[in-house]
Amino acid sequence: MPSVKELAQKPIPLVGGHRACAGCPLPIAARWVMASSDKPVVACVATGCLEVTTTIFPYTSWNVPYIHVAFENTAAVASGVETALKALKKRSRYNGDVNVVAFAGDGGTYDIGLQALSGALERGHKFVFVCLDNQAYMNTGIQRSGATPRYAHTTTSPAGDVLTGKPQGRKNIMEIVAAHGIPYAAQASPSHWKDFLLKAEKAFKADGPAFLNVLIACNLGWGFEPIETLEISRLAVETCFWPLYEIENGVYRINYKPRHKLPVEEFLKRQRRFAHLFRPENRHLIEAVQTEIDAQWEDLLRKEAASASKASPS
Amino acid sequence: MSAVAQRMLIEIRWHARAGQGAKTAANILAQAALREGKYAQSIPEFGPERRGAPMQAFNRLSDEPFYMHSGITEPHIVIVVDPHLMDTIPVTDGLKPNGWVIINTPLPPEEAQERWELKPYRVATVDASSIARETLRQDIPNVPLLGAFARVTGLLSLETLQTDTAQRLEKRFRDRPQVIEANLKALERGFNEVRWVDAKTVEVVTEEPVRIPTRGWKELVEGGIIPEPATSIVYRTGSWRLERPVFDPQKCVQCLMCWLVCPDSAIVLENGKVVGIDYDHCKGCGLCSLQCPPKAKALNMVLEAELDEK
Repeated sequence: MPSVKELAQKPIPLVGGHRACAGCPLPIAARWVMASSDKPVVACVATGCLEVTTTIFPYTSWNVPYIHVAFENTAAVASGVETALKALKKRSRYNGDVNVVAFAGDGGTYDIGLQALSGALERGHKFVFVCLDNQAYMNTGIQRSGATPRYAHTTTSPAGDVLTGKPQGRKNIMEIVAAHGIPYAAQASPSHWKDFLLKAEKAFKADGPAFLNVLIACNLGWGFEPIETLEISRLAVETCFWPLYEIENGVYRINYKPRHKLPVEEFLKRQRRFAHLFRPENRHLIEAVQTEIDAQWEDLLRKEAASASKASPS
Repeated sequence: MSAVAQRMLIEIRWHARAGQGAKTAANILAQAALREGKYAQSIPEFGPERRGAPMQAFNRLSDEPFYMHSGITEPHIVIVVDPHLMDTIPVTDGLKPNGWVIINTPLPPEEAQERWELKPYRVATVDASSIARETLRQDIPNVPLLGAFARVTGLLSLETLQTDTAQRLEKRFRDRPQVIEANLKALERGFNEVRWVDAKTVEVVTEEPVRIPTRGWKELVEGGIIPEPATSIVYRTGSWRLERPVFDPQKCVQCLMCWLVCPDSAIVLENGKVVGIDYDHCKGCGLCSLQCPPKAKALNMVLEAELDEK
């Protein structure tokens, strides 16, 4: 992994002047991913906050070749770019060496973009798909998505007299992606930059499709102050709400195990989307969340232990 | 006092930051106008920008039906919710001579007129932020501004505005009548505490307003392609900032953590070393100051308002 000092020598892949909210980690994550590539990158970006805020015509914040695509076909377009480059090489019309990266939000990954992603993973294109998971459709005004956690308030799962936020849990996108048997899938958070950069680097080096699921703490949709962005992301990791792990050729590895796992309440109480859980009549729901998180963490530990035998002795 | 002529279409433009309640205020204003038998519109205008970004909202009021639904470029009245916008946004762009500029500021109107070069316009000032902090315990200046608007323009009565404000809040704060009470108080104080001056000159300012260059359709590249990279750098997002990080090079240990986490790529490096901050793009989120090692503390957040005073 290149050091921060080495990264600072590289051209900035995403420049300022974009119009993301103050403190939004989207541009940070996009920059870190692209900076981790050892080759020039082509970025394919789905509709969403990242696209809308960085490419307000006639301006662009992207310092790399960039193609905007619809919600549903990010992975399909990335496949096309990768294949076109191969075809051009075969005909000796282009002999450069580039990486293809696709960025999509949780809407463009868990929900609308799922079939294109599944197809691209199954065909085995060599590209990196980055899901920037802010856990709802933030760009259109905080509607619930397949990535919204249980009991989170969104405008389409409002907490009130009838609902206590979203009744359903989150899709396990990592398992869905890993079930395609791709060489590399990992979950990362901008709060842990070394882990993040290592994973992005591994993803680009993978022999085939790679997937990164990145937590994007949204100050508007989750309800916290911009300065708290990285702290909230850290709490997501420390409470095992967002475990940092990777699945490399079927082998699970948890990259960070909190020494003292914090109660999930510490993560929930900092966000207005969960504020209703702290009313006396809803306190039991916090316990339900804790039980669910514990079960998921145990499950992950079991998977790591079970797949350890598969790992090569190296 | 009702100096804005009746029986005509009155156009009002609000300047605020996304999240300051200008949309709500414009809504209340239109509702109140409807109650008084007028025809009214309320239109918020958001770009793809996010919280903290400058935004506009529009109102049209008329005694007769009207059919325009566009944004407002030549308003009769401009209401500025955030005084910091006075220095960065051409708020008087297209404002009719002798039109009103109503500003949320503690400055007396004479001084505001002088400081922001508003001589061709009538200027009203009210310290709406302080009123809001005292009555609502939060800096939500939109409600006192509505009171000030009613007073100086005479277009709406205070009573109608109070009825509409109360109605709007009733559902949300039915368990907390004191919130509604506080809002009505804020409205009334805005009405009573606003001060104003007449226009000093009625000549039109001919100087071209600062506009971000846009391209005509003839210059567009086919397919909407943007042929050069990283062009957004000419767009300045520094005006979004409420706090600014101040850099102390003496204390910096050059760990580059601020550079790594800055969402706006606004940490300036020279030969791989941090040398300062690009205030044209820094949005003041504060992430850099939080990443700065506690032992170094080379980056500290300072309120922009305090810097203004100095």
